[in-house]
Amino acid sequence: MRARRIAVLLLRRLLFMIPILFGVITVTFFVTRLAGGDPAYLIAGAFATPEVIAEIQAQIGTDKSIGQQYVNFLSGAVRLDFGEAIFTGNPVQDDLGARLPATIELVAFSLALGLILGVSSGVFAARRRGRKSDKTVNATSFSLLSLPDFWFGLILLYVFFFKLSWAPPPVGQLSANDPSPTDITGAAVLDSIITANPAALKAAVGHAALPVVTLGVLLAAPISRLTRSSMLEVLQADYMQFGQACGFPKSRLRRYGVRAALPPVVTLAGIIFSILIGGAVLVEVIFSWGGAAQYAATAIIQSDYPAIQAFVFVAGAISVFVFLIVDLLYVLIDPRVKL
Amino acid sequence: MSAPATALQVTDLSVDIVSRKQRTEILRGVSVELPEGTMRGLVGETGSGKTMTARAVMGLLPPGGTITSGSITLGVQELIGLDNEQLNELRGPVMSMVFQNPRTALYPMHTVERQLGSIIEAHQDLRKAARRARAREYLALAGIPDPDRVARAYPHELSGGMAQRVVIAAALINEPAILIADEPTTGLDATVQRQILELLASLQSDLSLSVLMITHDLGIVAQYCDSLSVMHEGQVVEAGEKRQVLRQPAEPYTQQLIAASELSEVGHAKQAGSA
Repeated sequence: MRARRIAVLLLRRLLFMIPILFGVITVTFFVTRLAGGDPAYLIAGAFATPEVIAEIQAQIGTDKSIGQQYVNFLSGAVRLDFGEAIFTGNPVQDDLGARLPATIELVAFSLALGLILGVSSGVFAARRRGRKSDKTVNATSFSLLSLPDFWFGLILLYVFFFKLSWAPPPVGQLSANDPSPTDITGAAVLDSIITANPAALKAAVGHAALPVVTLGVLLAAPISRLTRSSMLEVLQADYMQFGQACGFPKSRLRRYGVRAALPPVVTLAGIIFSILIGGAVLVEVIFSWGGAAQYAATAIIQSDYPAIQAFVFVAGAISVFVFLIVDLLYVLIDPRVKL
Repeated sequence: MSAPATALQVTDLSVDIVSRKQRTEILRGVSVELPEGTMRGLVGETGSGKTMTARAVMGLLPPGGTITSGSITLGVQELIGLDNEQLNELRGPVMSMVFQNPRTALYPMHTVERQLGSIIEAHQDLRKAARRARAREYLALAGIPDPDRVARAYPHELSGGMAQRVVIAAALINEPAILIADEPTTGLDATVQRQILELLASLQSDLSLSVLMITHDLGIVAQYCDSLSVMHEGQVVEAGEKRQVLRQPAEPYTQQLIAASELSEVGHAKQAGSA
């Protein structure tokens, strides 16, 4: 019964994705154009003749009316064909396909680290409410919240690469002379695991360490604060008192409490994940991560319409998908959620 | 008839709530005696200290709650000074508590069966099948007509009355001798209130429980309790056998309580009837 309702929910949400994504790419299309700047001029250079420019415009399609361009764009997008990126010359979907896994790997590991640090420190602080340790956790998370990620990343680089030489240089997922795994997904750590290549895994983890710590530690701050407040509410709940009155051992009460405090944290994790797909751009740049966000940032600077549009589409699709997963998780972890 | 043994004896109990800024006295020399196999009403307005007395007995004082003097004994066992693990041995198999709001007292994430199973598991070494059977047995004992369905339900799927029956089943499932019922019907519909009180009364006599019934409703005391203690501002102002206290209250505060309740008329009617 519940399984069938979950299937129906899934189907309905998947259908909903279509109009949402349609809206996302439509808005992106027009906003990119509102920003102005015909990439033909950039491609042609400062001394190009009007003829050359016209030729380039015809090549990349910016000579047509906005309406016509929109129709062309949509008909391609339906087939997941977003055209060629102006500056790399490759089909945008290929460019993104090569870079997205690196971004997703970075974001996923960072979020995992953020959840481990955030949930444990939040639970810890809530259980010691008002004591010194609670205040320390609070002060730490508060200062982390106001720390810019690129600055924190640079500090970590300075200390652990430049001063201590514990970390490899910030040259992306792997250095040129590192043993590299066979490229399957494009995410170095994952590929090393799939191909059972311990040497490559060691190198990939080493390179991922600093960017993951940068993002993970910063993400831990909001997660910790939310966990703490959610946990405080749970700790005062009648069912915790009743559990105690029934003689539950401390360990079971703790499990009860954490389990009940988690649902809001799952929502926050989903929001963070979808924001970070594009939001980790500065960290990607600092560590030359070569991910999708870095690619999109370059595309924006260069008015590379097809690349920008495709990235926004993909980021939108990932968000919608992540929220679908969050909703499903909610159904699984909280029986009170109505289907 | 010899006087029955005492199941629970609270003597001269004083409790302070200590925070960094101040120390608030919430109980001042409270003494309550609960004779074995009887039901005692603990009566008073909100904030009079009835719930705090119950919580002190269960070892569930709120943060900052500190017992400054007195003694709490179950039979010969002194409770004050026991640590959490030692109290856990008693919570469930010796003393248990029913909460005011059954909807929030049950753990929302687990089915009724699972939480009853956990409560059994905390004290009894039973296999899963035996725990399931025992859970259903106690649901039936708590007057639930279809224990199977309720066992599989989540708390939010139950009505308030049904949830309170589950709470009662949970409180009794490890066979305590003493049950503290903290306003067990205040959060329920009027019609359901009566059913729950009847259930508690019949369980009390069937299982020869000693019940401390915390309530602000003198009508409940008049109907179901054997004796009562009246609390006011952290003190017991009057205590005694029900009939005697309700008919000839010595304390002005008790007189006020009786006058404020509908009992004044009921009491007179009963008196007239029995005369």
